[in-house]
Amino acid sequence: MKSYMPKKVLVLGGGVGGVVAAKRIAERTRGRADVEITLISDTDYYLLPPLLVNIAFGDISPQQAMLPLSRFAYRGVKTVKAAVKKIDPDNRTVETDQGKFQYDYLIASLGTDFDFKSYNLAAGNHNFTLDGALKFKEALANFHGGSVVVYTPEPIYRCGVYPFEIVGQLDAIFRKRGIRDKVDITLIHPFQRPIQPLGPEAVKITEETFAAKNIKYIGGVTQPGPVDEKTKTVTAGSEKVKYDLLVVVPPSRLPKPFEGTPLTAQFPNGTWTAINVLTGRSIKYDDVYLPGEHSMPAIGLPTAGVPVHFTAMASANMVAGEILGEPVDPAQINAMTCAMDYGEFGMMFNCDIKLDPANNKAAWMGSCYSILKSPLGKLIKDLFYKTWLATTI
Amino acid sequence: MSAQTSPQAEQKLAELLKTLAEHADELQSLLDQLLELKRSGVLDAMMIVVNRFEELIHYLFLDPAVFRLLSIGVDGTLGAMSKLETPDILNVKATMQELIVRLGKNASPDLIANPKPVKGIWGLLSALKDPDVQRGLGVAFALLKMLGKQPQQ
Repeated sequence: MKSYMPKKVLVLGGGVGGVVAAKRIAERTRGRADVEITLISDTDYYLLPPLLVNIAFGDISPQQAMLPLSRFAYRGVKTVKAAVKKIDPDNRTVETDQGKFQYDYLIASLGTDFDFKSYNLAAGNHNFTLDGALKFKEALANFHGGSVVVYTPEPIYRCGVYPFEIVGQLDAIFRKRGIRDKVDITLIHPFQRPIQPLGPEAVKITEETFAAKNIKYIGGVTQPGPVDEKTKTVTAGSEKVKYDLLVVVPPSRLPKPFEGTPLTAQFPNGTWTAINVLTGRSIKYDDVYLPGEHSMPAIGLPTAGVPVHFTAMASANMVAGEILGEPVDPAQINAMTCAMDYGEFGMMFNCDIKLDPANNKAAWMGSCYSILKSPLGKLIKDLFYKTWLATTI
Repeated sequence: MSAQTSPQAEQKLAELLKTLAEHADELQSLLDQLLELKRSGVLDAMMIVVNRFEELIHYLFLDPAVFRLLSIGVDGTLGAMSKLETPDILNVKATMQELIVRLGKNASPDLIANPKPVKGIWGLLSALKDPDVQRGLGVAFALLKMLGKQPQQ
């Protein structure tokens, strides 16, 4: 008698990539007893990172930015709360603090580690984690005037438009509180001109906005220095900038579980996991997919939710297609839209993506244009993220 | 066997019933509207959008055409609209209407793809005898004058 072992699909990460992939595979394989999907995450909730800024500003509670992963039960996805320690693709094993897991297919989307050490960024405020957002909220409440510095030492960090948005949003908040005349806002950034990768239209709008809001931009900083907590100073090239309230943007780094594994490769912009641009599949292992922020710099895409989301969809389509023996159309995206909040108005920018399978790259820089610049854009951004969150699991 | 209920639960139930009774008419109307939405299929269509939201966005991201249209049609136009006064809006609207009527009545894809060529100076002089061409030239010169004029702020 023939016996069937269920195909084990192991999904690592409870962020956008992991959640999207698990949902997609569960939908495609619904009702199949021969497929077992397990999602491992170090939290028992899914948190939508763009809403962390709304938590920091006190607009929403943390509960309004998250969904419990237990919701996956009705899709037949098993969830395990555990921290991933090491991935061993040669033995199809994942090591966690709750034990070892075997797989037939692995989808890993572990975001990026935030480097708060290299430039002593722990001295500042941020909203890159839930804890960070809550502390930032407190710092904002206690701030009544002085110099605000937003410090971005390196060009690869989560959500490329974030520093340009946060200065505009802080300006709007201080205006509402009636203390804008007592506040100086400065953004320190590696790009020569603000938001440069999005192209000339975005640069023009941002420079005009900064001029109108009296936001100082120190760009082209190629030799970033550490934050000096004692003197409350940031060194940016030859300039020393004093701060009373420091907001930091930590550089993205390869997550620890990938370190020293054959899943990574050295690229001109750092060490990242190596994937196929169309499918998210590991370059070296056919049964491993890595649609996470940790793969995006290697294929030319930004470390942000939209490209991760759709690379995860492509990976999930590949895995489901192989399991079901159905034709596979990974359907990687050819456009990506970014919703931005500049304080008084919102913007939606679209970037056309040119997929280049021969060089395993996706080109988008400079191919972006505004599709809406209006106060209505803020509302659309809110609506977009809230609907996105509500329909994620 | 009857279920045991605590005094707190009974009080909550009583409050709930009171609220329901107070809003009975509105709730009945809401229920009627919901049933009508269900019967008409509108609710089912909305549920498709909710359940397939992710796919909907995915389809949009497969081809940038919609975003390109939004950029030109919405964002580009919005930028210009804020620079105009109310009479300008009426003017643009009437001009657009006239243009669309003329295009609709007189233009054809064949006219654009296979125009009758105007050859040399004699051909040009002959074409200029046509009163429609003469009026067209009038419009063209008016357009040239308009394009060359600096907008008054």
